[in-house]
Amino acid sequence: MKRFALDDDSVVVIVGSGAGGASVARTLCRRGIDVVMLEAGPRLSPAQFHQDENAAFQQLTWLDRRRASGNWAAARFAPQLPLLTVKAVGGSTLHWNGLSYRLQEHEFRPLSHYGRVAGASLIDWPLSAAELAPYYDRAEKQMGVSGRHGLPLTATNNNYKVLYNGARRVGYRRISNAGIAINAGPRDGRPGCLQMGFCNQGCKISAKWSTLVASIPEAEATGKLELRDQCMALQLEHNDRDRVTGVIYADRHGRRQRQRARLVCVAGNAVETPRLLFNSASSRHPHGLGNDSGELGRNYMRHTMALGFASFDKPVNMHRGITTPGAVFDEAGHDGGRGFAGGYLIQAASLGLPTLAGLLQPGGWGADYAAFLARYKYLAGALMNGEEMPRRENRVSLLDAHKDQYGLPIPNVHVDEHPMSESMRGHFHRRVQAIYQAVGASEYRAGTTVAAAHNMGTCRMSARPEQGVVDSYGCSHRIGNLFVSDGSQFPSSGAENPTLTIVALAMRQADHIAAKMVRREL
Amino acid sequence: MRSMHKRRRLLLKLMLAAGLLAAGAAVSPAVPAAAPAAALTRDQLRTLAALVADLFPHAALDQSHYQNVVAALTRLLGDAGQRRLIIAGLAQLDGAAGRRWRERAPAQRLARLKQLESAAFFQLLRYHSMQALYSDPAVWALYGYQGESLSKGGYLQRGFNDLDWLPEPGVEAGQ
Repeated sequence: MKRFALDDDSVVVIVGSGAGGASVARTLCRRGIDVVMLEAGPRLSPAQFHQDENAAFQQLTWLDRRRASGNWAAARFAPQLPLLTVKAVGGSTLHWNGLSYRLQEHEFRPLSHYGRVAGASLIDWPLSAAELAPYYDRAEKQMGVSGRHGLPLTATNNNYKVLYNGARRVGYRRISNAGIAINAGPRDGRPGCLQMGFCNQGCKISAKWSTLVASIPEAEATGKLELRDQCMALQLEHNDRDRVTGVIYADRHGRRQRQRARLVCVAGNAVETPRLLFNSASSRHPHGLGNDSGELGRNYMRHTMALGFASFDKPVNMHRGITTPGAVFDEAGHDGGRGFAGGYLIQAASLGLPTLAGLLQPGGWGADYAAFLARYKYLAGALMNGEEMPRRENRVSLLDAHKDQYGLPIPNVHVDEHPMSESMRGHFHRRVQAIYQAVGASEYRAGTTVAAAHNMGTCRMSARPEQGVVDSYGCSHRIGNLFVSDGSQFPSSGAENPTLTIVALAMRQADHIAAKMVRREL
Repeated sequence: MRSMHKRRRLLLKLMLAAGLLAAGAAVSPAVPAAAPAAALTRDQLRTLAALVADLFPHAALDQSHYQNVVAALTRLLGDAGQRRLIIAGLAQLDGAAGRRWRERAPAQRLARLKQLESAAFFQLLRYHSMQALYSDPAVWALYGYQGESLSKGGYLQRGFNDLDWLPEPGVEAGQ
């Protein structure tokens, strides 16, 4: 395996091995550029994954201490675990379900399209759908997204069949099982899906795309990547010309190391990325590295989510097969008449019994609750993935009084939801209840997601430097060799799952970096 | 100082437990190996069993399922702070006067639980009861959750699309 010296300042250092970091690495390595990748978690083999919701949670989840505040459910029910992200090589691509949808054209210009929204800090993206389109194409081909570019569809399962038929009966017409980065048959050295029902726990056979089983080995095959797992980045160093010069990290033995760098890409997910920049504050950058605007850590977004479950007279067995096998897109557009800005997707989604017991109603108990869980075999489920309004006060900040295992302040994640989130949930529940009743549901119950799996916006890209942290390539407005490569860049959340857009942006960023290196501008 | 420190540790544990639950994560609690069931009196154990059955009543489950849950709860007693919380909580259920909680009529028992549902001991016991009960493969078998599937080849040949009471989906435009 390739090794680079700690004092080799010609390497690109990438912090994080998830969708963003590994996609930048893969593109750079294939362009002949040397990369050192630091990943806080361990490198697991897919054979080690657990088809057991409890054990998989313990194995994969980022459990380092965090805090939550504000009016969101996490602050109430999960004040020490507000995010559901992964600490392992592959990052949250181990956990994701493969849904690979493009942002809609208007979602790149939410301020222009929705108009000013009181209590929200909307801005337009500094790039258009057309500019990103070729990278979406590349990302879909690389990830093997079903139903795109001539690739076959994955098979539909029972849970999807219920949602599909109900949606048709209430008049919806844009329902699809295309757009999933799961192999229908053998492809790219990985097998076809066996419909095991554990997408969320790390796919044991690697039918699902993840950076662990695809991008990272592809980058390593170039001989240009050194991946250092169990290495937690603690601080970025810079010189007095506002150039990043290296990364201080704790290695797997807890020893401090300094890796010199030509440039640094940070992709630690939307909490750890701004946290690392805050922890890199200096006399030149007293409020965090590259935080001249004061926007670092702000405009934190999740997707607005909700769960709906319905009970039927005949069996469904929702747990069999792909966890999120398809979606309804008819509510994805913007329609001011619904009482909220942006739209949402209705995704067929299953949960195992242990997880369902926790999310059906956090804190729930009693005869009614138990009776619904006892209907498990007869339940169908759906998840809302909707646009969440950015708010300046929704932010990641550091709690100086609370230190982690490295002696660094732990992050606090504050969310006061915009009232539109609750309006959107209400709309979703009315629609999904109608969908399920149209195919004979006898009972409908609203479930609650608590911890946030989709995290965006804390280093947002902006045309004007005073409105964000990075430009449309993810490059810091202030520091020319510092890049943000994950969902932290998003100025808005859109209604679509973020991974495909993270990968497309990362490929575009890597092309930009490589071109600048050729021109000796980096 | 020492008791403050202990109290903080206990609070952290409770918060973590609540957090894991909310994340949808069913988590086996970190409990000491020793299971000092004897730390509870027979009387307390009977109250605990009655509590679990009231929290998650299932006609299809028998004593053995609930005994597994009680056993999981007694493992929490290995932690001194949790032990105090649970023992005090069980006493609190009975209240100052009148009949013991578990001997009251169902409606009265539930009313008392409703009063106490935000108490720390209640949330601790509710959370761990839920975890133990709905992570028990014997309970899954009754309600149709099938757990691990790779060893049987997934559901590709075992009914992932066997629902026969609705038509097959067509291929729509989608996004």
